[in-house]
Amino acid sequence: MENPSHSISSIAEKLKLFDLLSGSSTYSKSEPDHFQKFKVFENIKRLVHRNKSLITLPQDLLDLKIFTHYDTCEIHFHKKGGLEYKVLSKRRGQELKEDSFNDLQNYYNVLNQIKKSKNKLFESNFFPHFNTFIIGTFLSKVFEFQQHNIILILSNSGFLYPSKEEQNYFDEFFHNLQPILESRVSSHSSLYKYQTLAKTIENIPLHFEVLNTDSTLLFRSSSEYREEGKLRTQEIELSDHNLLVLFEHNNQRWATDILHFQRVKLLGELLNTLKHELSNPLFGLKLSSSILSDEITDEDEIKLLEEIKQNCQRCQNIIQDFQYLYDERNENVHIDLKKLIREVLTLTKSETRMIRKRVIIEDDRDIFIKSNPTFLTQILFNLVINSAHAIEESEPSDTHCITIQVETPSLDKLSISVSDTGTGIGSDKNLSIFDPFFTTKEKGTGLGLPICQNLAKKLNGRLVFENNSPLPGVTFSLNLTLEYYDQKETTHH
Amino acid sequence: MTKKRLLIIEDEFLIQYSLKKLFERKGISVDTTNSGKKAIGLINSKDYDKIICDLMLKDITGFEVIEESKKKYNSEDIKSKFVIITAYSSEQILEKASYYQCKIINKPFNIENEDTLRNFLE
Repeated sequence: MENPSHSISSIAEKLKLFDLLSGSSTYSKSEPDHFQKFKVFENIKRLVHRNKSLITLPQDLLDLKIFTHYDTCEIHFHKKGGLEYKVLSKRRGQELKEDSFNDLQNYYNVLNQIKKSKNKLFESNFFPHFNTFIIGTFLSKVFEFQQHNIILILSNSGFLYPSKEEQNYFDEFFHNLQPILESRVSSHSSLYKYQTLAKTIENIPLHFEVLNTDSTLLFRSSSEYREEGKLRTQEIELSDHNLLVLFEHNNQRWATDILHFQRVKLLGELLNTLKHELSNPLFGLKLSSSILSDEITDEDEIKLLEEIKQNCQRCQNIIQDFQYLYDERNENVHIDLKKLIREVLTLTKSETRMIRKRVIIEDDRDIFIKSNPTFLTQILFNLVINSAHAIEESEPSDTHCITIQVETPSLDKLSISVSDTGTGIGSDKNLSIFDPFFTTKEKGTGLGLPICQNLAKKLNGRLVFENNSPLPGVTFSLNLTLEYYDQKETTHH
Repeated sequence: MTKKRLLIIEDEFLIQYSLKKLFERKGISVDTTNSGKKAIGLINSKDYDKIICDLMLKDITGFEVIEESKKKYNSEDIKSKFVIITAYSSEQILEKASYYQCKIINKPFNIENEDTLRNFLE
């Protein structure tokens, strides 16, 4: 007879698994696609909830049920420009090993080979000069972020390669983990800076208050500060007015990252399908109107067909442009700013119907910049939509207007502002508008502006706002420091 | 001179119809079909100078049409007769097409340009 305690524990084990399956009711290891049932985003959410820093990330990854049969996780990261790279290696049941090496050439050899490899399957003896603690086969992925390059490794210390499903899952999982990985690595790198700064602040016997709100005191004394356990999650920044602002960034902030990433990915897939489904019939329309216009002599009808052809072309152009808008690559490319603004206005057409729109660029000149077009478009898109909503909420009037203004105060600075004639932002909401989930709209998610601010930071910029005075409305400005911009250079966009 | 014969395999009616009209104006005799299976029948029963073939057909793919026509044509014939038209020129598709060495023309193309049409017939 079966040992009853054994069967109880195995039931408990199974129940735990059910919990992880998020919605699916059966679990069988023999099913080839059982990996698909471990929803990627569910697991990422789980990880984000649990993980607090890069140091614990290897352990937290190994703790995920989906990775239970791996026993070692390594993160090799190099801060661009740095003289050494670091290796975090965690093996189940052993202490985390932390090490630094300076043979960067070896590091980049391995990184490039992993990058080039199609199936991402390796064995430790593939790379004789690789500073790894892993023995046996492993799965690996390379991440190239703005400031860091990362090699991430999962190994089962065995000699059998993981199955195709595992590889796919690994790939999908870590592809979606990118924003978290990037932020964990950069906060790890700047931890020392923050620690020093936080210590200094702790030791100054003064109360710090947050800007001009009347009641919020972030902390009174070092002891209380620590009790709240916020030390690690304080980001300290100087605001435009040289006042000290403490931002609490907790998991909610990562929520904006993940949500944004999900949204872009979904939209990308959606638009890709749309593009494929629409381009063939559109092409058919264009072709047939061309054919017809050769056979028709009536001038009005010729004009009409010409109009049809042009509209088909316009639709084709819009579909083409979508491709650039939801590009997952985190890359800076040459952008024709005027064209990008025009695209944003096209995309927001239905929301801004009946509202006048102006674009003001000094001397109406062409401006070419090097930046990330996806991020830029998304920020402007959000701001224009917000403006339209603010105008909708205010008194109807013929003078309502959304103004997009581009200014270039110096050679490496660029400011794009979106200004409306709507309700403006009440002083009581001044500080909250960039907080995740803060919203005044009935159907708002409260994520628009936090996402914008987050994207602005990624663009090496900042999003600020000011109520228009004495005119009604508000102006949001995206202030960017650019790699360079050129007014003549031709665009590769 | 005998009239050139052309087969157009395309399931988007407007594209099929327009191409047919266009080539007929050039004095070419054109057969059309929207089905890959019917196309195979036509290829086996008639002789064409050129076969313009869409890849994503409703029943089978353009590659399967080419594969079937191997019964009648050698690889040189396939190379010179078939012109693939496609809106999805992914790497895999290009790779596969290069195996047959036949011409690929991406949709959309510009028919107001004479070179495009010549490109089909060359």
